[in-house]
Amino acid sequence: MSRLLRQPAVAVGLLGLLALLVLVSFPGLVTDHGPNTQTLSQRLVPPAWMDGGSSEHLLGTDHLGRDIAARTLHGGRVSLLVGFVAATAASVLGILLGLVAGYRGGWVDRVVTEAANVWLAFPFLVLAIATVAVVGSDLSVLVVLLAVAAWVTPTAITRAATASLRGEDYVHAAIGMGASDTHILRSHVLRTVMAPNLVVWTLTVGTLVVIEGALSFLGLGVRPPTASWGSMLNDGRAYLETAWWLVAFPGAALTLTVALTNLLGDGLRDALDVRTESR
Amino acid sequence: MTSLPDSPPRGVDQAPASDPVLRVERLRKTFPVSLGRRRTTLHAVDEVSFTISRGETYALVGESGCGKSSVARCVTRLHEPTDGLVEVLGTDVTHLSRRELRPLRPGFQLVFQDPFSSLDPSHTVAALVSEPLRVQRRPHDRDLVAGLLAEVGLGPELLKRRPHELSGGQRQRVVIARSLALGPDLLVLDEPVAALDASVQAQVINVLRDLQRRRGLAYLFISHDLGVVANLADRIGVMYLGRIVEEGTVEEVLGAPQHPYTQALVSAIPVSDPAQRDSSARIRLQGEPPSPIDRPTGCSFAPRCWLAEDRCRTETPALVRRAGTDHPVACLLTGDPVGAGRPVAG
Repeated sequence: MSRLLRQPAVAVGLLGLLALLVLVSFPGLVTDHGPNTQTLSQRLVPPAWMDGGSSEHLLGTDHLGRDIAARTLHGGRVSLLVGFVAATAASVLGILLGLVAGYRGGWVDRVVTEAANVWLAFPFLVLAIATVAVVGSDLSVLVVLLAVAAWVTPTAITRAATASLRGEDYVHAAIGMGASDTHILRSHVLRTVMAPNLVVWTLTVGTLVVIEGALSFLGLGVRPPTASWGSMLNDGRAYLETAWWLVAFPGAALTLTVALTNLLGDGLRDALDVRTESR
Repeated sequence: MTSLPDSPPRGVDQAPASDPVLRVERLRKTFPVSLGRRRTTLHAVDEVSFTISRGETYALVGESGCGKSSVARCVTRLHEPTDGLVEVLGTDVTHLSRRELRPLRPGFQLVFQDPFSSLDPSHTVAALVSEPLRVQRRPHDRDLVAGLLAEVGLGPELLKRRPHELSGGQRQRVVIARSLALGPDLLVLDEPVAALDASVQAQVINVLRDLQRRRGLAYLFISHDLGVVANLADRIGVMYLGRIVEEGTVEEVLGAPQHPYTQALVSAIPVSDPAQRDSSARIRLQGEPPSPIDRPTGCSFAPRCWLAEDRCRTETPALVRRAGTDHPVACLLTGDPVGAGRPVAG
């Protein structure tokens, strides 16, 4: 762990994400305003440091007089929650499928591989629109959609790594001791596939936060007035020429999150490269 | 010592010959192969028979591809034999399932050639050596593991190390310590020193010899290095293209090789004293062994044999004791079969 933190990219990415999580979890640290409190007399107030800005609203207000800072932080809750939960679900699903397909081989492997190929060829947005049209938009629907959107990568890397580990002498040695498949998967395969999956997981969080933004932007995400970064971008779009702060702050928050997760992912990839170190 | 509570007392004085640890009878192993559109079979092991007694070292020698590693994998049941019998410690294990083999595994363990790939790089030495005990749900603690390491001449300071921090010789000794953890009676050593430097080879050979003396272990020692084999083995089986072509004690086989192939192998053992070197005695074999997919009729060594006669190409020689030899040889030219040798079907 300390070895990981010595990697600057890992340290910066991890600390940045932690700070973001703290801010998003405790919006009261920054602002006392509620995210959905409308003050119609104070509509489209610019950020505090600009002409006409007030210290009451640090990052200004939107077209309904809602505090941008409060909405960005509360919206971050939704975006990050959806991103982390969906990425974790996708990783768990992908690791399980990849382990089974890579270790068992045969028809299971063919089914999983073909499903992944079909999935990659299928336009995700069409599926998202159809699903929302049928079951409606909801936080849990969003999580499931995003988890399903991201299952292929962890499955593919787990499957490939598992299939190559299956031929290792130390796996044969374990069979020679009388080890069960469960023991082999848990103590020899899972450890090794965890490192690349951790990297993919971090990168997936970033990707899913963006996809959540895109879905909310299209009106397929959380229902108004609940804030998410994507829905804020959508709301502010109409005022882009006169009140840039409506989209600038949620957009910046989204960009920062993705940059931090990518930084962390790249750093982990370098730090966790067990293979190159051991040979 | 690390003798486990439920393992039987062992010792070299346990009537060796009458107590076979391993019995292999007419073992065959074939693999399906497809050459383009043609589906055919590769005969890796063909009618191989031998027994190993308690405390004995039996060496299988031959060039790469002769099927000796397939024998090792059939005996340790990483492969299922196609035909024949493998009996370990009196139990027929030829066609047992992995689940059925589990309780029998402690009796016979395998040591691989490459100590780099046979140790999981992400585990510590302590975890690696205790793995068999964990797999078999046996008690294990630090002292037990340190004791196993001590038996192969390694100190407890290595317990927390990982494989990439060890030298090749240390790794192979860790592999051997791991194979001892369950208190086996038979170790199958598949080229255990081939990947090591010559000086390290000698250390590992000495460790193996000590262990055998102390624990009364039987070894099935797979090697292509006759020098190493001469050093360690009691008996030798020479394999060529999936078959044993000559078998006997080290003195019989290396002292008076009968089969032309064995003669060629023996003549290739390096001699350290240049004065004793006789370059004319060196037999240089021409060509490659025939493919185990398209096995020639008759003696499979005939295409490379400088003595081969016409009948060698039609008649398959059995591994039996022949007139003029004191041990079984599968060569028509050494003489006619005598006595009750082990017949080998052609």
